Amino acid sequence: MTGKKIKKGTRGEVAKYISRNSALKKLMLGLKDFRRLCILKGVYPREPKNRKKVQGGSTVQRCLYQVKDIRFLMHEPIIWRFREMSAFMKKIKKAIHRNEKQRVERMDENSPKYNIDHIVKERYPTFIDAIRDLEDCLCLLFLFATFPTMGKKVPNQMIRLCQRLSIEFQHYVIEARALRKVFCSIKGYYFQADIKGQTVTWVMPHCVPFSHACEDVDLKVMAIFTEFYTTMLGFINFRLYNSINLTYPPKLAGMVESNADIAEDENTRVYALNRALHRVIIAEDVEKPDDIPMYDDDEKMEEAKKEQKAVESQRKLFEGLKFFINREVPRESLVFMIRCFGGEVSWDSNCAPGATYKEGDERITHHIADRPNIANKKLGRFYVQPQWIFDSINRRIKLNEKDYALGETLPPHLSPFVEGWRREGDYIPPEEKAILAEASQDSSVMEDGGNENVEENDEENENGEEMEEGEEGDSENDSEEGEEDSETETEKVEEVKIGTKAILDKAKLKEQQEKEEYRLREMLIPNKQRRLYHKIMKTRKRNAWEARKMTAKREQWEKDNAETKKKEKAAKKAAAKETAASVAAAE
Amino acid sequence: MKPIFFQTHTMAQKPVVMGPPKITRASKKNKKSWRVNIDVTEVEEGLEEERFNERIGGGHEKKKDEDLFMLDSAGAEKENEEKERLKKMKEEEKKAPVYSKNLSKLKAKNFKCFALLDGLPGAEDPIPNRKKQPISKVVVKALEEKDKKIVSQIDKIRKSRQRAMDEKKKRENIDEEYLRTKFAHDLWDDEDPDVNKKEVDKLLLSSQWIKHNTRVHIDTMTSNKHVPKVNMQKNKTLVPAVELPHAGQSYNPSVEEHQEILWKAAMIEIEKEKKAKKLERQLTGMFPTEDKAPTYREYLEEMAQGIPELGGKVEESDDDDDDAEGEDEAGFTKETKLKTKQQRRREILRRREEYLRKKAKAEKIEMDKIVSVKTYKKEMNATERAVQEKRERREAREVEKLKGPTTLSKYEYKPQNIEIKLSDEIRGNLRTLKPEGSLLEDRFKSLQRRRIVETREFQVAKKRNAKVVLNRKRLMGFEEELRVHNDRVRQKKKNKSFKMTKSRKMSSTRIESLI
Repeated sequence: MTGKKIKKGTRGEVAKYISRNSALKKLMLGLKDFRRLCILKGVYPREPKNRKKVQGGSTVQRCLYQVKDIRFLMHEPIIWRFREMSAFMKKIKKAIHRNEKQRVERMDENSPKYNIDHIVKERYPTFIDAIRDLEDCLCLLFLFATFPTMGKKVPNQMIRLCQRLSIEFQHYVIEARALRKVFCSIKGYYFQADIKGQTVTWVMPHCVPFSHACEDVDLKVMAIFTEFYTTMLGFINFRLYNSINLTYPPKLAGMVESNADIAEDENTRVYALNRALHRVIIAEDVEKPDDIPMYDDDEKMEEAKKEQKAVESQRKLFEGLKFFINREVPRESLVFMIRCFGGEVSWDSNCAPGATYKEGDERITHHIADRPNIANKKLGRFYVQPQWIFDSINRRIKLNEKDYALGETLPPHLSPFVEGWRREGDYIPPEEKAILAEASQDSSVMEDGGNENVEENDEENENGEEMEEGEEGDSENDSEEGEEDSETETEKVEEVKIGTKAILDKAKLKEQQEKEEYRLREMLIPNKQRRLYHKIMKTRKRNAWEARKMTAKREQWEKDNAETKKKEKAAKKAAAKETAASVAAAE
Repeated sequence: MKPIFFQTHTMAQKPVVMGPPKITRASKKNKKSWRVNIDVTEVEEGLEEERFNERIGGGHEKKKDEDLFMLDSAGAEKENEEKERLKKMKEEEKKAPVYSKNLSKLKAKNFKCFALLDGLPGAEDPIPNRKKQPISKVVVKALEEKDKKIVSQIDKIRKSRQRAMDEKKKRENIDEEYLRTKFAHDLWDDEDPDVNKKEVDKLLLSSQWIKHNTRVHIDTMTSNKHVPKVNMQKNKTLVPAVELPHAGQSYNPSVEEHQEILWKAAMIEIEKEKKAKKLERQLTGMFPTEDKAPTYREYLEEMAQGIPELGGKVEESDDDDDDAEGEDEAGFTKETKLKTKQQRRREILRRREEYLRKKAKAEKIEMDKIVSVKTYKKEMNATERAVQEKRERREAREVEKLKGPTTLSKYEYKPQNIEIKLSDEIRGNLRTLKPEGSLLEDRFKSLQRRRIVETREFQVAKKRNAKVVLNRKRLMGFEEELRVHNDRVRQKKKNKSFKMTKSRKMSSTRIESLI
């Protein structure tokens, strides 16, 4: 008896995949609608393990979907809306071409719309799921919020919604004091916040005009993603606001809901950002660490407690400080950063609305400027460059303002994300080491001298501790030294390396460049000669190493034998004298 | 104006003729002449009037005053009356079958035509005891059926209208605009998604004894269609949504980190260059350039190699080959020698010995196997370890694959350029910072890297009905001559100007020499 004949393409890997065209047919949708549906539902094309098997022997790269995914899509009620919409578009086009204005108006009113709330819920069954996937959403919305009028592909309404939602989110971060790390890169500002125990990172573009340079980007696709993410962030915002006793939607000062020019919105956004929100109940929602042991290890527990403490102090970093932002400094990002740590901000009321106090205010503690010098400096405040804020946030303490004074060459702005990448024993650049050492010393200076604000001492203490545990073990022990000492120390370090600054710097640079070029040349050696080259270099190195070893040996030997030689010499001399004397005596 | 019923029917007036009336005599011989010549209008009118009076319930002279005249009381009462009348009508309407409803509605509007249909007021039925003819049952049934149909249709329309209204209301409640802008409720209010499910279904569907297919069957049969709740197919990529920037991408980086990223970028560029060079070498480099390409003559020469008739050289190695062939032929002619008996015996003996030796050896090896279990164990362990390592390596490779993009469509993923600032471009302050790269592109490429969006290339749509335009040149035959002529004129002018400048130069040199 023969078994039932299996039809080709019904079993195994082939039956699991479906090409895009047949998926379209199955769903009875057009390509545009299909793409929209896939993006909204989170269904992506797949790469099979064996393309040849799936595609019936052909190895052409085709866009394949999994049958399961498509079956999943088939149950989506939104598909009916899409179908309605395509029918509607046909009708309205007809009416437009017939010039039936009234009909068009009436149809416009009753145009089919769709709602994606249930999809958000479906893709993120719990709130935490949604927050875990917040990064993409934030990046996109913050980016879209900076767009000018883009035409048909990205409607103005969408851009305005992005602006509103992003500001609302920023307000939450401010109110919850959730920001942890800041990195100013050449691409944009990277922020990292701790939201409901999840680390969320996002990018905010620099405050420069939008350029239409990138042609590869499909704006339509991005707009669909944004459409989904606006709904998602809206609901997330609602819940976040409720969780810290804020009313949602908040009344944002200065935000006008008209169809005004988008170009002017940057100012209004900052205006909105600089105002505190209305709280229903003002309550201290500082979570106290529980004593329930989470780790078996006591050390780990201790570390966790310390971290908690450090974060607590970081949240109050700029509390009680008043900042004034000069006109050339980017306002939006800095206002956000400062307010996230409890500082107050204002700026010149002539250059943008929303200033809360004037430049002449005597309570201002820090004046942030980004120019070589300011003519009429006022007493009683620090004039610092904006990098002071970034670095202070990342180091979790207020750094020495002198290093960031106007006209000073700034220390490098190091990435706060690097720590996680480094393993133990990895190379840490000396600049970072120096800063770490300085920071720990700073805090000790505060303790000792107490010439600065007395209030901050407690925080500084904590910071000191936390810095110590964050650092490598070698640099923090000598934290008792004063500030000046630290400076001299750093100079010493430099002396060992480069000696006088001005001359050797250039030489070093030149040397570096030469080295770079040399290495490049090395890379371009053809394969045939490479082996030989490496051989030669190896022998050279060995020779050099041997030579060094020998010289060292020699030196050591000389050192050891110096005394004996002297003695011998002296003995010889004495002997000679003696002989001479004896000879003379004999004569 | 008098109502139509009270218009008096006057006698037909005849044309008045002046002078004494003529006595006309007409024959009254037969019926026809009677009809023609005798005026019966008076009689007819009289009869008509009588009938009319009958229709309207008697002449007005017979009627009482109250019937003929009415007292115009206040307008309010009239309105009330009107209302009552309408009310009555409506009630009647409700009672009445649907097919007569429309009619009654029209009647309510007091059209004259319908008034006439109602019959004239006051006329009595000429047959006093008329029996009302019943409508036949068949007709009634048909009418009723029709009625039902109409009712169901009306219901349908009413319902659909209601549905449309509800939907519109819903829409108004949700949002006017195409994007959701109002977020007024907590989406994750009930965290447990299964709360709303029916208990029975829950029991059935969660039971571990029921197979998946059965579950689907139950679902479909109980009209609880099996809807997959969550998309089980997760995206497996290991690329994070936001890739953290390299420390060297800081706006004010430290030297080492900056060098590191510069090297990274340089390596990529070098690789690219290498590839390009390789391509160049393997494709265009393989062929001579135009000036070094062989001419036809050279080609012919090459083709003529080895053909003396065409002037080509002949290689001289042919003779050796001939010799070799001769030797081979000689080999074929060798005779095979027959073996002697002794030789055969010895051979057999040798073979047996060989066989026995081999057997003994095999036995020995077999025996050794038992002794050398340890080595076998070692070997097995080694192979196992090798397999394990191979598997691990493969798994690692697969994980590594997940960290990058994959080809989901026929277009290859084009990696982004690393955003860097060269050493002399770093300003070290925020004011003069010029951002590198485009975040929009970064996001888009990130989607591609994470296998969310397939790689695409913009397709330029072809113009379907591009018009073919013939660019005709109508040559008239004298163009060539004209061109030659123009050239000549131009040349002349040139020469002239050259001469002029020459003469001017000469003159100037002369002047200089004079000075």
